[in-house]
Amino acid sequence: MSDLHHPCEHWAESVSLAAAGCLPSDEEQEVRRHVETCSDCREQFRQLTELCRALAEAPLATDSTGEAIIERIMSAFTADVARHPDVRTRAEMIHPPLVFRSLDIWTWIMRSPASRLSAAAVLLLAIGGIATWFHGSGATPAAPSEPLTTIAPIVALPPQVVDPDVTNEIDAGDSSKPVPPQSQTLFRDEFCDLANSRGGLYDGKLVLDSKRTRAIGPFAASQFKGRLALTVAELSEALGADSRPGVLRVEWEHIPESIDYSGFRYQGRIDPAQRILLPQIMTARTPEDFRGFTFRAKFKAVNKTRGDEATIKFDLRIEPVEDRSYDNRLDFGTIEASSTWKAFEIDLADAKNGERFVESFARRGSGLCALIFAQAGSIDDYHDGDGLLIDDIEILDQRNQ
Amino acid sequence: MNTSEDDQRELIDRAQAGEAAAFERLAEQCAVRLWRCALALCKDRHWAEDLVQETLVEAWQSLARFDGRCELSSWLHGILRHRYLKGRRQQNSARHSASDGLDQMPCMAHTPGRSAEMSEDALRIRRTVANLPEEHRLVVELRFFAGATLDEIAAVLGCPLGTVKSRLHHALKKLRQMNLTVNLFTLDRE
Repeated sequence: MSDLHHPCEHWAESVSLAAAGCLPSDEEQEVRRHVETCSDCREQFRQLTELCRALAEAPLATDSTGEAIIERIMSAFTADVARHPDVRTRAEMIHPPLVFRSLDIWTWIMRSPASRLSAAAVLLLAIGGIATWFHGSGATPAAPSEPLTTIAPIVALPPQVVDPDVTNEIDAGDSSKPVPPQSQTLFRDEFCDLANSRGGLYDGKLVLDSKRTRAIGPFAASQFKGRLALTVAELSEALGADSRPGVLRVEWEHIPESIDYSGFRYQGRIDPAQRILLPQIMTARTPEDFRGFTFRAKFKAVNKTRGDEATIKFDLRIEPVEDRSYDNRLDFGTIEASSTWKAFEIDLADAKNGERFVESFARRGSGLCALIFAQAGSIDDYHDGDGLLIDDIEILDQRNQ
Repeated sequence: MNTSEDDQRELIDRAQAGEAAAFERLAEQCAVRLWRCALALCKDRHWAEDLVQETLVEAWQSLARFDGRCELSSWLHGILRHRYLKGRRQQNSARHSASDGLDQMPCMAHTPGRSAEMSEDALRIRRTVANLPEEHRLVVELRFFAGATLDEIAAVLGCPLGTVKSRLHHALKKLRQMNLTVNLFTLDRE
């Protein structure tokens, strides 16, 4: 391999960078103009471009597995932001509040062992003085400052009898049942404020629409045969089950020949403060403690080519946002939706795998959850274009009824 | 659906004003490259995941420090480098080892469990890259395997942009020579 001939040596680095796609367009044009006039540089550029293309294609096989990781990272990040929602302003960072500056000075002073001993003595005296003062005056010490996120504890969870026949089934009649006034809404999404957005997972490539307002994304096994397209659409004008505009649609647009799993993960609105966060159920010790917590949603199957015959089966579950989330799911079972709107309701205590779900909450100390709409069984049972319209998702605390 | 520069500037302004959703969108745009860079640095998927998460959280908490003098993604990559070096220091002190820095990293091509995922060509390329001197290997991995820009690479490696350009040029030159050797060897066998 010969290097560039002497007169063109100063072009060598630029030629490499142009081949690697690292030059701004004006500089790249300059290099291209030069290689057109110089056969040696042209050959160098050709070889380097081929090499760079081969290099760039080398990591493609890992992309599909990377997506799941990115999704986990973003979920975990969102959970953290939900716990610490405030960003410090520039003024606060340049001029931190007095207490922090004082702490910095204090930390600096405390580097010396002599200072530590002196400080300990002063602290003992101060504690003694304050204790005497409180004892003498009857004053109450100030309450500690509130944490950023207040978690409402479950004080008592009396078991209630719920008619099992009304749960775990789609029943259009339930949709009109008014929510009693004493029930507390833990999460609600009526999808009335959607943007017209569309994104999805196309043959392993995740495409997100910057206009989207909901945190929902497709997921799928990285290994599959054939073409795969899972799409999510926010339909701001389509009429929902409540006859008001705004419906979420998830769709198996193109079905591969085989795939182990696929589906959609919904976490609420894009705004981290409006995700499915259920601190109220974090203190549950057994699945029976969930008794009185109700999940509701309305579904309708759609398929452009099948019209009124459209049906779709899907697995529905709540998963904690964490690694191995499937193992710790709260499983609502397999639901079958048809071409008319139907309501689904379940008491969380009646869902499967509650023990693992409870353990997960206790271990993580976070109430962030995702709602999963997953492929039910074999993909052979699905058709291209099978979709599900989703409306009026609610999670209620009805323990006091 | 790429966000234009204006859109990004607006998102940054909104994020700096405290809108978490705006920062989340910015983070989503950079998360893939950050994760790949983290993987190129630490060669451990779990650690890489933690690094990116820590980077985003730190960036969110100190977003007011971002003054727009560089691209947001370069700034994030700089944070990633600091998180990585901090993690290395903690690991090294745990092992009572004095070594530190980027020169101790195993090669991406040798990460267990990856071989089955890659084609033969990709494996051959990775092995060739793995045989480069450390400083050249890293630049190539970050540019081509992680998709980082030169500014991002400079931020991740903590070196001037000119150094990154020079290293990339010499790395490609070496790869071309090594690749040619491999190709000739293949031809001889045929």
